[in-house]
Amino acid sequence: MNKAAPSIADIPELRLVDQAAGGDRDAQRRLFELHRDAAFHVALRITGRREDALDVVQDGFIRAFERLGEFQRGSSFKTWLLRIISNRALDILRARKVRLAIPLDGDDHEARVQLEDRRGEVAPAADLERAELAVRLRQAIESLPADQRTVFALYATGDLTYGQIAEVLGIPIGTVMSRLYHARRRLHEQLSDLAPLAADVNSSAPSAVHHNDDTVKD
Amino acid sequence: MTPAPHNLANAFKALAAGELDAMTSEQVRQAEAVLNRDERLAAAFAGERPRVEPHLAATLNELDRGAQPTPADWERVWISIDAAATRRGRTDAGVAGRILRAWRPLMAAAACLLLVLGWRVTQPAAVDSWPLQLAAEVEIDNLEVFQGATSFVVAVGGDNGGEIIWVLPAGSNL
Repeated sequence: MNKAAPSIADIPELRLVDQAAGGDRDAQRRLFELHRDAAFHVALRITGRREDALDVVQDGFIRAFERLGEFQRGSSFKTWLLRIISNRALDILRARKVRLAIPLDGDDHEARVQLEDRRGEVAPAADLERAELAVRLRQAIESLPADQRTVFALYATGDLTYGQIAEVLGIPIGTVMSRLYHARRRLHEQLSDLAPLAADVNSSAPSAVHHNDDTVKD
Repeated sequence: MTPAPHNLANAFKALAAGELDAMTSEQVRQAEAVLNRDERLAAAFAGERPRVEPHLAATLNELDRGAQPTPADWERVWISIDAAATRRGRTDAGVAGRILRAWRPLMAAAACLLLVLGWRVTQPAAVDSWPLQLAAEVEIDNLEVFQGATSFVVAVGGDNGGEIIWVLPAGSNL
């Protein structure tokens, strides 16, 4: 009896990587679908702009597929991809020549307009406060130095270990821990006046950040 | 100065629990130095996942709510990625073609050179080195004169011999 061919969703990731390296478009698309969310959130956290983050994801995947031959099978595709994404996002930051200590006026305005629009809606007070906290958090993240911001972006995905963050950034684990500590401390300092608000948010919060359950096992 | 062991132990306990905020700046500095020096200790912490507190997770989710790409956004991104792969495939083929075209004259020249070298290697030794002897049977098969030069086709050695083409230039005394 003929065995049914395995669906592309069942193929282990390393085999997908091999197939993608050979130019298999279905395998490339599957890798894209598996990792686009994590890539987007890291890019968004570093660049602070949605459209830039989408550009980073696009460029990052193009580069990754071009260089799949250089991918070391000992590491995971995700950490390798996130390294490309982080570097590309930092390139965009540098190209913008933004002083990171100053919030991005355009985005800040856009965020405030969204917030004001939502104030016009009949929304629970807790929602509005959460939205306001989100705007302040974004400003605080954008004020972080690039090295702390990148570590924070990877940490904020919620599913990377110290070792994986170190691998993505090519820095020692102790340095990851230290940068993350200082990033968090700066955020706390900048948002200290919102502590009661943060506590309110805490009471109705979900327990995790971004989950991508759609994963394949090696 | 060597850090106090209890100080470091507390720092690593906080680190393992994902409670970075429970550490002091000094503990972080010391822990960083020790971790970056001691590979085995660093490896022990490599699998630890720093905790994202629920209220931070919720705020980050809120932050991303309006930014989340739609299926149409993802489709556009994928189309661009796919198009780049197609362009790259074409470019690779184009580059190969250009390289081949650029090398074609050189390859032709190399082929000519090989032909000449091959001919020189395989051609008979110089006439001077041949032993001179009288042929037993000589028969002129053909003789032509053109602008003072004379060509002969001469058969030598009978049925088992061969033919020689002999050209005498104009003005030759022979």
